[in-house]
Amino acid sequence: MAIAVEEDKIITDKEQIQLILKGDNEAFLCLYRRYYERIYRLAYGMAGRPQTAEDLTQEIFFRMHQKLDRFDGTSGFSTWFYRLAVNCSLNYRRGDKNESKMEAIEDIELLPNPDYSNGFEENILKKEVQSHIRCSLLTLKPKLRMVFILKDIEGMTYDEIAARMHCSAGTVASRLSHARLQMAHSLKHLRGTF
Amino acid sequence: MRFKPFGALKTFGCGWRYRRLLAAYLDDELAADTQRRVKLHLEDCTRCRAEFENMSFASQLAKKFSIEVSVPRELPQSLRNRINRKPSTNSQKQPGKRLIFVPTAALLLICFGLVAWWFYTQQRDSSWQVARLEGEPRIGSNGIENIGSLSVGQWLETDASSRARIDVADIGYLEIAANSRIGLLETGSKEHRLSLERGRIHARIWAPPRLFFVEIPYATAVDYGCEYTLEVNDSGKSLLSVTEGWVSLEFNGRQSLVPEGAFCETKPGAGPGTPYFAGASEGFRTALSRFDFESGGASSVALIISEARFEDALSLWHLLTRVEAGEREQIYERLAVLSAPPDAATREGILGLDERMLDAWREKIIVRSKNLPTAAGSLITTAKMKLRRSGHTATLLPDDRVLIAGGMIREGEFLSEAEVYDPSNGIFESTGAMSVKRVGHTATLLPNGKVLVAGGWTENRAADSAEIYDALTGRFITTGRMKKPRLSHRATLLPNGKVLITGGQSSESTKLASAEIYDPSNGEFSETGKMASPRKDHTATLLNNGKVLIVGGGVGRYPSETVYASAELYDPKSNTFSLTGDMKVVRFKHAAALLPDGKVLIIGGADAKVWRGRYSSAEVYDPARGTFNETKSMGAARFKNREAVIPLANGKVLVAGGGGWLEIYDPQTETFGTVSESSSVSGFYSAATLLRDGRVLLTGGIDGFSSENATDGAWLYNP
Repeated sequence: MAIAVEEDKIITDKEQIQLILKGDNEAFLCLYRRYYERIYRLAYGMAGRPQTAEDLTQEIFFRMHQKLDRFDGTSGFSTWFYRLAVNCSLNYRRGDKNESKMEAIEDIELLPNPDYSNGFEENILKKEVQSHIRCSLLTLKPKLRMVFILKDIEGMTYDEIAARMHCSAGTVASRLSHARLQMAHSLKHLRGTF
Repeated sequence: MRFKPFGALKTFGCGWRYRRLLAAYLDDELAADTQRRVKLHLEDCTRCRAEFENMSFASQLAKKFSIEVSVPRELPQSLRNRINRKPSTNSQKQPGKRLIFVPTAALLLICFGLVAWWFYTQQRDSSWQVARLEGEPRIGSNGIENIGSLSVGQWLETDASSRARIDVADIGYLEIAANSRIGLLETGSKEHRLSLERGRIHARIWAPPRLFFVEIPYATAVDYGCEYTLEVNDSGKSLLSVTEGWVSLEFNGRQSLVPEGAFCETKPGAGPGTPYFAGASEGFRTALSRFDFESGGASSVALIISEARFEDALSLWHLLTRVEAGEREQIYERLAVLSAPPDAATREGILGLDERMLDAWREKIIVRSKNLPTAAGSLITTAKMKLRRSGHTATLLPDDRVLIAGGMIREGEFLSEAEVYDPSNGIFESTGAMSVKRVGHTATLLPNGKVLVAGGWTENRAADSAEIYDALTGRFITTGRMKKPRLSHRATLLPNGKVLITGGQSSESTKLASAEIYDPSNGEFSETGKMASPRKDHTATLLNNGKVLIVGGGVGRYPSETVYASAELYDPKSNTFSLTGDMKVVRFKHAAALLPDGKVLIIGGADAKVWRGRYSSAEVYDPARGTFNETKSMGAARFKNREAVIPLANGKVLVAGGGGWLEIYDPQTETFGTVSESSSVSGFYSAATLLRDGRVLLTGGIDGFSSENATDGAWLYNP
């Protein structure tokens, strides 16, 4: 279970939840700050652009606040919350895909000239590679994108992903195979870049 | 939790069944035995391995994806407003609705399932539909006008001018050729059984294994999800030819497993013979036939062993259980060379006919057999080289073998070792080593059948030494020294039998405009005219008019290199270089190939930005006009693949390596087409060699992304 250090005292997730359910907005802020980075990364991977990612992050936290009373503690809060975040991300503004994709593509073209001074191509191309990955992620179907983010960006195990996506580890493996193949295909021009 | 896939993995073919497991294999998330099986499968299945490499590539690339996140100190105003406006509540829950919905949905599903099952079983148990394709096929004494039906116990006959098609329940169809007689013995949910008395059928079946049977005299053909042609003549002999999947021919406890691309004969009294592939030599097939049907014994076995090639491994595997103990040992030795046994199999186990070990070996052979380059345009993995190599050379020898020399295993680890590939058995064998380690050297087949190896990077400097490889002795012997040490130079065999050496670099900062001529008659190098510019990483192509086209290249040191668009022509008559037209763009680290019409294709390369300046574009040089013209671009940007671009016997050009997958340039349409997306062949500094039979051997290369090591992989491409 996640433990946080806030104002010299250790408060567990469950304790925070009890406080939030009693109407303590400070406790919610504490939970928000504790999970913000992970949730934002997930949202950014799914949305592909900062503004949408920020909107989605807020939506996820709002839903969490709304449904907090349904958290029964049978699984860890982190698992429960991530599951909610996954569902929320998969359903969030489905019609927004093309807009996000266009923005990601424009980002690539607007990249500043890389710095050649150190002579190492790995550093030179880092930003460009990141933009290409972000753009390619948007070409994946949401469930494939999600499993790719959870495994290859967030580094979760199959069981952790399965618990958060309501599916079996076999389904995770199958989706991940699809996702990686599609990513490899759309990023093949980067082969040999590093 | 490690998970196991549904069902057994023992499979004939792979498809998505294996591929869906590749991600889990990569992440070490499979149960140990499944992990081991997938590992074995990957050793042999080109397609799955390519996909595995792609997945690995995507996964590693994702690790580069980092997002800098700054955690807000306060809740955003909008979120705070929403929370305060809508306090947490569960008053909106409507459990009653859910309680009604769940059982209703379950009931509907059950009803739907029952109805579907009823339709399914009804369809399976009905008689089979027969369609007239030509002439007047008959069922019993009744002719078929257009559509008829074949019931259990009935026979369908075609005469010399008629053909028919049978739809086999819901699992496939058969085409019945002229002069055939076929009867339906049984049809049901567990078995469909026909009898082919004479004639020819072509079957396409997509049922699970061992559901569809065709009885022929002296064997039963059992389907394993396949497409095949089966022919029975009047004397009861039969020939099975499998075009997809697998067929098992069985008779009195004897079984022959016949895979895609293979044949198997059956003769009266003897049952099924040993399967063989279409490419098996006449001698091999004759020896096999003698062994199977004429009690050929030891002399046949000896002949089979001597004639067996890489492609005949499955035939040898069948013989393991059919020969005497002494001969089994000989078969084992040969088979182990052609297709090494899996880790799970021991010599003692195989010789003792341990069923599990035999099965494991067969499965390994099967996967490899599937990959044989029998089809035009196919790419398969062949045996691995003895060593990992990139920046090596691969030169076709007069005896059809290929000399692989030098290169590097990884940055700084160079090789003097050489090996020889023998296309007749698909095996690499070590040969004599060079006197020094070399990478970025040149190798040129001389008219006397020997190979001149010159220059290259040795331990820490460019070499001026050269040596000659003699295929007859398998040794390198030093020859005269070049006038200058050279690396990234080019060597071109001239029509007069001498070799032109151009450009390159002597040290990090010294690029060369000079050129030299090697004379095989005295083994000496001598200086010849100078190029207009010093050039390294250029190309040099012998034109049909005897001149040599020198294109592009660069000077300087990264990141301030100067790259040229200029080109020059070397005239062996005057020993001089003269400028010709410029390319449309500057290029170095590109590749060139002579086209059938005498023009020269220039592909890829890069400008001074190197990695960021890689090209997918291509140009064609016209010697008649002395100009370069743009042609269509490749599917991928590539460079550092100078040794992997070669003209094919069919007039097209194979473009391999350099960071892109296999492509073919067609001079007729002036376009590039992708022939294989196998990432295995996309490495930098790989080599391609045109074999005498028209196929291409691709060797080595370095990915540079997923591994710092070069590959020891080798592939055969069949144009």
